[in-house]
Amino acid sequence: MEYLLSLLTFLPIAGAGLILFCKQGPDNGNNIKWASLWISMSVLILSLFVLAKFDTTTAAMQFVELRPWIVSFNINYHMGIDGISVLFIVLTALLTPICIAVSWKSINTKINQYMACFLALEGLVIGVFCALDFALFYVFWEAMLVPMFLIIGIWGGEKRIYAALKFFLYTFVGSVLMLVAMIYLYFVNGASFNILEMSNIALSSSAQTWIFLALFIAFAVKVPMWPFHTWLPDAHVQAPTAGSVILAGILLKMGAYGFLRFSMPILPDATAMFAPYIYALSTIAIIYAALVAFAQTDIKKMIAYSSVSHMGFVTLGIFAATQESVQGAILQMVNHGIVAGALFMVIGVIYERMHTRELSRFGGIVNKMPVYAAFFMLFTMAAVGLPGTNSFVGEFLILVGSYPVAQTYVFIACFGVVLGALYMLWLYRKMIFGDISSPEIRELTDLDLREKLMFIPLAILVLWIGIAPNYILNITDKSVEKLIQQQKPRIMITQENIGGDK
Amino acid sequence: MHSHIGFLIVLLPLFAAVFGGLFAQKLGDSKVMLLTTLSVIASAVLSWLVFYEIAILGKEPLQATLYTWLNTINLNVSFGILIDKLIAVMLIVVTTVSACVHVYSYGYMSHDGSKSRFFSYLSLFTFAMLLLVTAPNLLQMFMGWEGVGLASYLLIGFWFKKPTANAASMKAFIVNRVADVGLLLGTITTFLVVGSLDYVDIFSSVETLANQSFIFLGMEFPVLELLAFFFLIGAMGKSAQIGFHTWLPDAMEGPTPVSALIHAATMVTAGVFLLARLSPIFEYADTILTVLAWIGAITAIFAASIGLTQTDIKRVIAYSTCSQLGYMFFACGISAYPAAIFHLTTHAFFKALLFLSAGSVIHGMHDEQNMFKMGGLRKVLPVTYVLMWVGSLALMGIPPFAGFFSKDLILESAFMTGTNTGMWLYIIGTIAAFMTAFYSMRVMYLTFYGKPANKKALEKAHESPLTMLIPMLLLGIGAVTSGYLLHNMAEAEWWNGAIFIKEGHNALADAHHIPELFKYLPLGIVISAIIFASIVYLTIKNKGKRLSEIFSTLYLCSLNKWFIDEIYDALIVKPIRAFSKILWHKGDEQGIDKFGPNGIAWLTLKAGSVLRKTQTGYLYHYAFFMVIGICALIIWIIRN
Repeated sequence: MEYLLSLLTFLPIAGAGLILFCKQGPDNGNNIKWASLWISMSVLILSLFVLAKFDTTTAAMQFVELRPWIVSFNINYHMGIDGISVLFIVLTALLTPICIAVSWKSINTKINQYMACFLALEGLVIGVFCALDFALFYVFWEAMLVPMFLIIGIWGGEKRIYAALKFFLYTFVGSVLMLVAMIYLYFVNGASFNILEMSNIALSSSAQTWIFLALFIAFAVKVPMWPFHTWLPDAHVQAPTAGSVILAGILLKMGAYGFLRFSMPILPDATAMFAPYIYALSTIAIIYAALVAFAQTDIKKMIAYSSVSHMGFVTLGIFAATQESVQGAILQMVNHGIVAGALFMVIGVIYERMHTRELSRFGGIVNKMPVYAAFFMLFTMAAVGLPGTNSFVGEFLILVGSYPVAQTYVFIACFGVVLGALYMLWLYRKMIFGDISSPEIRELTDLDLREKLMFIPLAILVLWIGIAPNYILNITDKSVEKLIQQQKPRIMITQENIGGDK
Repeated sequence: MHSHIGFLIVLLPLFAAVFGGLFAQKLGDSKVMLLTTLSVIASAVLSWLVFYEIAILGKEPLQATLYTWLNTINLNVSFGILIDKLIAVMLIVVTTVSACVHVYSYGYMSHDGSKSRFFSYLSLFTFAMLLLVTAPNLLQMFMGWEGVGLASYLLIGFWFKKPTANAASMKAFIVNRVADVGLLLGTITTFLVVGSLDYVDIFSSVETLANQSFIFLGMEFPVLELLAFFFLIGAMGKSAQIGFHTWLPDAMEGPTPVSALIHAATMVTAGVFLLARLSPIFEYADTILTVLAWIGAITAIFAASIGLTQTDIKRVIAYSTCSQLGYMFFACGISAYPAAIFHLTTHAFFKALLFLSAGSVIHGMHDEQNMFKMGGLRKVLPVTYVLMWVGSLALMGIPPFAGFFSKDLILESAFMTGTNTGMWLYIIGTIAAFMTAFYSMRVMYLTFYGKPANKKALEKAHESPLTMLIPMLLLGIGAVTSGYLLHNMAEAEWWNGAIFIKEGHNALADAHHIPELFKYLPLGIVISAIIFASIVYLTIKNKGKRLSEIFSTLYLCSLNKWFIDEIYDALIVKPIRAFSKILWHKGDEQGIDKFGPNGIAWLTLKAGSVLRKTQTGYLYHYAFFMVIGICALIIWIIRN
């Protein structure tokens, strides 16, 4: 049990190393793919084992590993998970094999390096979610940029260099600020990087403000929150399909996770102070990104903007800091990982067949690809937040939880739900419905077995979480409760406010 | 009565839809059709059983929980059922019409290529509608509410090759989504003030809430008025009330059985159902009740006025549905919820019948929907002809057909409110009844009487098969008898507490004290409309053309649906499109990107190229700068 988290983190990284040294060449391509698939599958099984062993009755860290690492600076190898992080580990472990399956046919150059990048990325991201030592966290956080940078920069589309650089620099600026905050916290924490202990520091409010802002930029870029979001559409459009899946599915969650793990417990005063501004930014993101998504003609860009819009709900829920809103936000992060991942796969499937992402080039796909259309419909409805799908539960909890503290913003966010339906249905209608619009579409073939297999687990999750979300809500229950107790109360519409005679 | 029966009623259609949808290719069309139809029929039989026990024998309401849907520290929502008298009535309406429509579709869709898909969607719809009505809490109701919206979206766009059908299905979904914002806000506000989403808890806390206020967007409202307002918005969307009505006529792009089931008998009445279900909230919201009454009345007359001039047979009936829903709304607005539900029930039968008859005409005429290309069909389609008469008479409210009992009850209640509003509602309702009778007769005359507009088409036309006629006949029996048989529903006491009417809201209770003159006035008006229509369409040549010339402006307004679609397009759709483009180009590309990352990159490059000029590489340049520097340093030291 003691080594489980290390195993989860370093198994894929070791696998990546192994694959990097395998024989290159096209004749060996399939072996490499199978090898990486098996490695990632074993990580998935391990992660499910962790989930099964996870104790939902406590808010304490579990599977803790604590070993000295760099003694002179008091840096420890400190790993552990609670109800907030465990789901993201499973999500990462789930999406990686799917990403490998997605890339099965579309990646034919530098297969070794590509697969190694994905496995390394998987390990590093899991490391980010496990790390309880700020320095360790920082190492994983930064190291993870490298494989993602390579994935976009090498296997991406035409403007991949611009996109990769933009992605790297944007995140890097944030990271540098995080570094400064980290060093400050290290000193006030009695020369310790222990994240859990940092929540006990009594920081002055001005110190909290500055640290909060530094961390905020680091995390807001990752989420991404408006107006730090413009790297995302470029990165998504240029990244290969699997890159987009992992980017939307996992990497965006790291920012929101940062808020939950650092900003809220360590800086409760500043969090409460800045919360109204963040509601505003979140709501702008919801509406603004939904509108911009509606204007897109590149289908991948449309989904990319929809990610910004959906993540707006997540940040709104996190900072509203009520039990329902935070649980909803965590659930919605998982949901978005599943749904946005699936939608990027949907786009990827058609891109592999038609080599275009221009909306006007599609039309009437359902005539040739009914199974594809059915999956697409399910994921569209999930993106729209239809009850019965996972996103509804997340969105509803966020809205109902944020309502007492951020009423106006919730009111506006509700219209974001309408806009979400607008662009998604527009996209679906233009792509799928209608008569066959071009000879290219006449030649299309429906999903093959591999493609079905990569959609089915996501489809099952969409419905399962939609109909029985309690399993997941139970996991986050205790940890969120503890987190909320640390928070300063927001300005609430309390019973006194509601009461009073007419 | 065991709660398992309740669950079976709801889940059977779901099972059929999922099973039929997933294994359509393995099972083949005929097995999927059989499976879905049988399960809905089974569900209907069980519903009648439940209706007998609960509504007729008056047994206790059925209540049970299936499992906990979601559970956080404060919020706890379960899936379950609650079947009281109101639900029992809704159950028989939904399942009976659905069963009829399933059977009817055997014949109607016989030439279609994707029957399994159609039947699976129909069953899915039936499930969602049952989920909606049997829900014991607001969230499950919302799930059913959105579920019927999805099924409606899928079925309107069933013929996905037709661009108009795709546009219509999307419009239906989006317009409903806008209204659903109201429902969503209502739900979360309810949770905030009640602390629970279960109807039982909500209804029991209504009295304490009655004196409380709530601050919404900085303004203070009585909390129940605010809740009622939110739910009213939601109800207006589903029930296509004025402002939100535009999706309903377009929804006629779907196959006709769909129009009968979803857009006439069941889904569109969900709004009325919601008002009745939440009557404890609305009863304490006097302002919203008045607003509600006016919305209903205006919708009733507005939609009827459009129905007068439409050329598409289905669109006329669609506007008629809209108008009848208006009656139900204003009945709720004067606290006559039982009358509204009574009318909902009779309307479900005769309107479904009208749609199915229209479908039979369309089917017989090989997909012709324009009434001006029909005419003289009564000899070719005799059964359809008779049943269409039955449906029309019921719609017009001629005794002893069903519509007479329910519609007159609404008008009588309006008259007996004793307020000015009530008087106006009575007048508007009566004028709308005149229009209703006129357009009903117009449909009959244009379709079945006169000379055939297209002789070739007439020769090819044929009466529909028995699979279509038998369900029509069943609905026809309902359209004739349901008014008389169910007239108990008019009594508030009959509902056994399922519907709440506050003390002092006596419109319904006083309805039978109405003076004879005003009781029979609407009937007289209707008969005069029939005579007037007969004169216009039977004796004057060129049918209604003369009439349209006389009232040309009004005619154009009506024909173009009062230009509501165009107004929305100009005021909402186009600005959103333009605004989204502006945000993208001006906001993201030329704003954030230009001054953000690209701007900084540009600045760095620029700064680099400027500073580079100082690095000339010539030794004497560097020496010169060094000398200046040393001089400056010396001066600075001396000065200090």
